[in-house]
Amino acid sequence: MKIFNVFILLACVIYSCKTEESKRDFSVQPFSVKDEVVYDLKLDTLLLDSVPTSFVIESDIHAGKIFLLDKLFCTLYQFDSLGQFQRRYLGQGRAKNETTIGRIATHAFVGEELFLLDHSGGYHSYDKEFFFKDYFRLIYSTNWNSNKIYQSPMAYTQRYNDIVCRAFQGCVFFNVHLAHPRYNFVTTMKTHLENNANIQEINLKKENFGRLLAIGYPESYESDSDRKAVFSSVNFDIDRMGNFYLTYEADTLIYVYDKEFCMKQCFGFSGRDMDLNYVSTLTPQEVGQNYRKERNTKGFYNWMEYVDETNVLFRSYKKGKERSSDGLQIYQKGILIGDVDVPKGLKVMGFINPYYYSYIISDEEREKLYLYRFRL
Amino acid sequence: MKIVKKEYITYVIIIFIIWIVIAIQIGIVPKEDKKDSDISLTDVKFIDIRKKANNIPEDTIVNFYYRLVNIGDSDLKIGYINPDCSCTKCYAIDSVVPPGDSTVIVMMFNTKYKLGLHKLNTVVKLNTPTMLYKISAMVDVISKNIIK
Repeated sequence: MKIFNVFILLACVIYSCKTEESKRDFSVQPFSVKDEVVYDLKLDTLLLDSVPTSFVIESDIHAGKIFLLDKLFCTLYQFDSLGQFQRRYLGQGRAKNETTIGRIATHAFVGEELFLLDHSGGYHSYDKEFFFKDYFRLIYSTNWNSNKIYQSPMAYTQRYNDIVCRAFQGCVFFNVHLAHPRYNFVTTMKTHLENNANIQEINLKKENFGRLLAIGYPESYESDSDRKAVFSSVNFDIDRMGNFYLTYEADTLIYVYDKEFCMKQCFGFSGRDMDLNYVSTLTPQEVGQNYRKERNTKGFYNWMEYVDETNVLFRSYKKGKERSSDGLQIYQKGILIGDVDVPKGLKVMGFINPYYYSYIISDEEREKLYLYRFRL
Repeated sequence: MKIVKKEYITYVIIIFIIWIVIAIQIGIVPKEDKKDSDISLTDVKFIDIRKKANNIPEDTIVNFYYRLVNIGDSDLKIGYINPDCSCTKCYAIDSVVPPGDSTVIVMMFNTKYKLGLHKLNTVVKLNTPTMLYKISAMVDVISKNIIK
């Protein structure tokens, strides 16, 4: 009988993890360990070769090369690991090696292929030679049941201003929020903290919505909630095994989930010297009014990068406008091995042996593109 | 018989001409590409490409003016002007600018429901070797209540 009960319990646990409708899961208690061995980073600054650019960019490391995506000019540039220009791809046009997207929202490398998202719900795929492969558009119906709005994928939209896009096994994942004027962080706060999904999966093969993940907010958002509406997004990465590493912008902890989004681990230390004096916002109008200014002046956790090649996890955080630097936390197997000061805007992009590289920083005033690299 | 044959040939020629015209219209040779290859390249200088405005009241329309000068030898032709927000309307005073002359691109930003700090980007396509340019404006919109 005992064995039977255990079996039933196990089946329930497995089922609850595998069910398509994810639930709020912060079940694993935090266990944070420090063993700091990295106190400083010796950064090299690499100036990229000059290319025509709008300075509205994203960047990536793929197949040992550095890629710069110009989101307004819709051009993809390839550089070597020293920042030397090698090739140009895409550009606007109707040819197979061009793109018809007027303005790119974000990108991801999905295996060998390139995925681009436009601003109208259009999903564009390009093969490994960057020739056009496929396109589809998701139709967002507004005909949803208001009692189940939080469970409806069509009610969510990507956070275009601070977008995160990751790929795993033919799916892309975005940080999202509910796009409804009556259901949002400030208007329906209690329900929102319990039910809002923060990550949406889109299946590129099936050309359809996938799962809604990262349901709800951690306990830390329940206190001073009105001050955290502007910092209600998540940053995350996915390792090669499909594990998610997640951080909420105004929360100290890092949450690790497996492929089925069952919680595996929880750890993390707060960043140093962060300006957390957030302004209270009680209406959606106040959130809009304060959004850019708060995010430009206050401290919050603003990026997560898991480097598969070395199994090192980086979490970037902004300290605030009045501080002279930003912060970078380095974790290995859940243990904090370093929390260092870095130049403002530095976020780790990836690894080309033997260096870690930051995302490309665009200095529009001086018309320069550069990045940092370092070794641990 | 001869007369019939003549008519037949005439019909065939007419149909062939119509087919050619339709083929051009539907883009077997895309018009845009044809136009691009025919247009001579020139050179341009933007007097400024970045503007800033603070304390702009909500519910107004604010205009930015970007002057550009044709410093090349051929006519400067504006291909398109694409703002990145539906809240922004852009147009050029002149779509064709002779060598040595200048024109202004006007960017009109509607601040309705746009409280806070905004960066507006617009892409301009010109017949120059660089081809694409970005003009931008940083606008801080404040509530009408604060002004009162």
